[in-house]
Amino acid sequence: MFMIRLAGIGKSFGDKEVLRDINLTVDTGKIFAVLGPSGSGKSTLLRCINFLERPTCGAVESGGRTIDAKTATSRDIIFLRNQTAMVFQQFNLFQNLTVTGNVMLGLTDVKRMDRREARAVSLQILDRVGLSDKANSYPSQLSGGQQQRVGIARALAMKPDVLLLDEPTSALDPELIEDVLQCIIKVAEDVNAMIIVTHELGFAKILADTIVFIDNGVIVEQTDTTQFFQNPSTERARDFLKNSLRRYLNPSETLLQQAI
Amino acid sequence: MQKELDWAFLWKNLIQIGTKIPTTMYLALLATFLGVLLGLFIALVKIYKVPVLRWIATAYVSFIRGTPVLVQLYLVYYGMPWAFLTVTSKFGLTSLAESFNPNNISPAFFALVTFTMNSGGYLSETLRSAIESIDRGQIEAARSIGLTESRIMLKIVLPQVALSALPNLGNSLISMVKDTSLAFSVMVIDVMGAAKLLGSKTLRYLEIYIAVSIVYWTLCIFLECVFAVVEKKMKITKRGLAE
Repeated sequence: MFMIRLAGIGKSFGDKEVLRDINLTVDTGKIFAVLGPSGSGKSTLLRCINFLERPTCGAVESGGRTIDAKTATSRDIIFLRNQTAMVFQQFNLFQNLTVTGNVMLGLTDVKRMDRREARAVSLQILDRVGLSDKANSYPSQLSGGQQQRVGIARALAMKPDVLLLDEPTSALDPELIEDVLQCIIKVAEDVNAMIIVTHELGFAKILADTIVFIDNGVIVEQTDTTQFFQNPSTERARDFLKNSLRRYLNPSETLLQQAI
Repeated sequence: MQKELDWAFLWKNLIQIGTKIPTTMYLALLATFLGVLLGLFIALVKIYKVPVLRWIATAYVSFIRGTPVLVQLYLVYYGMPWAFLTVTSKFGLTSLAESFNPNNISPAFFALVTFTMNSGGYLSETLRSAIESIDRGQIEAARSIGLTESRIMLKIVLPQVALSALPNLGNSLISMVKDTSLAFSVMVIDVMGAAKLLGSKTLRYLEIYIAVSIVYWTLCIFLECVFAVVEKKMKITKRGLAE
């Protein structure tokens, strides 16, 4: 059984085609990592899934319904968003609400849950991401890592069929990344399916079942994780891995040269 | 010989004028409050680019900003009864027109309508920029969990707009307190109205105008203090002490 299926998704901004004919099926219990060079369309792909960017063509199938990009009404889009939840690169927490308020809002205002129950559920999830002691703080009082864990809790509270993570560690200080990655690994057990866009190759390698490698707006390769890292089948994927590895081993090569 | 200022007289009349502070405050507070609602409506019309209405809104704001309040006051005072009678007679509602005589309406009502329309026009721009300054990311996050646009406005955008527009609202209210002094032109007996009446009765205009200026000044200082306290309180509860 699949949790979400993308059929022929394409996206253009004006004349510029960012995504072309994306087909992807994520089965229950699977974690997909989307890799690719920057500007390849990874984030746009993720944002097309919940129609934060409305695809130009194609359809998204989820929860027993097919939502076509060309005909989707605002009600269809809300339906789709109820099947998914998203964690953002910049956290995007609601600044006017406390940590608990951030997690609760979807429960009370979308799922129409009773406030007391919603609070209990939220506190439980906050405990899961290790933030019970910050329940009454405001986002501006938290570190980046803590804010992102609230973002994860907010998404988890919705019990989505598919959890979408858009470069969840890219805006964090290096020493905080580990913290958030551990948190994602921990909550991965709780979700039905997950699609994560990331630059952290090591992380993708441990967490994901399948790697989707995307370049210039098309899926170049979709392979089992182990195979992708040991023996990618396309030249472009091999180059990408080689470049990433070189940058990882020698992060400040150019800086060092400049210093000398 | 030059007359000396009569301080005792000034003080006595200052108290007298002060008894009309409730009228002035009532006008200013209600007009600002209703003006916020009107301004919000205009701001949303412009943000969502509602067809037709947005052109009307643009013309309206331009008119409000481009004409003196005093002129607007006269337009409403003379124009509203005329418009009412014209409309009712045109649609054959003669009984309504007869039973409801617009000339019996309190002048304060016309002043309230004018000041509401005026502050609504000005505040619409303040509110529009406050709404547009809310970071898009939060709105996307709210969409991503399935909230409808109206819920997002109510739960995420407006509370933050209230906080960021508060200093501007404070200034608007203070301007409004001073603008209401024009209401005497349509015979509203507010602080200024009381002063004018006392002046024409006693013919000691200078003392009276010194007294009325003290009343307005004190009121405005008081309001500034109130807004400073409210702002501080809201900052603490909404954003936390960490900032």
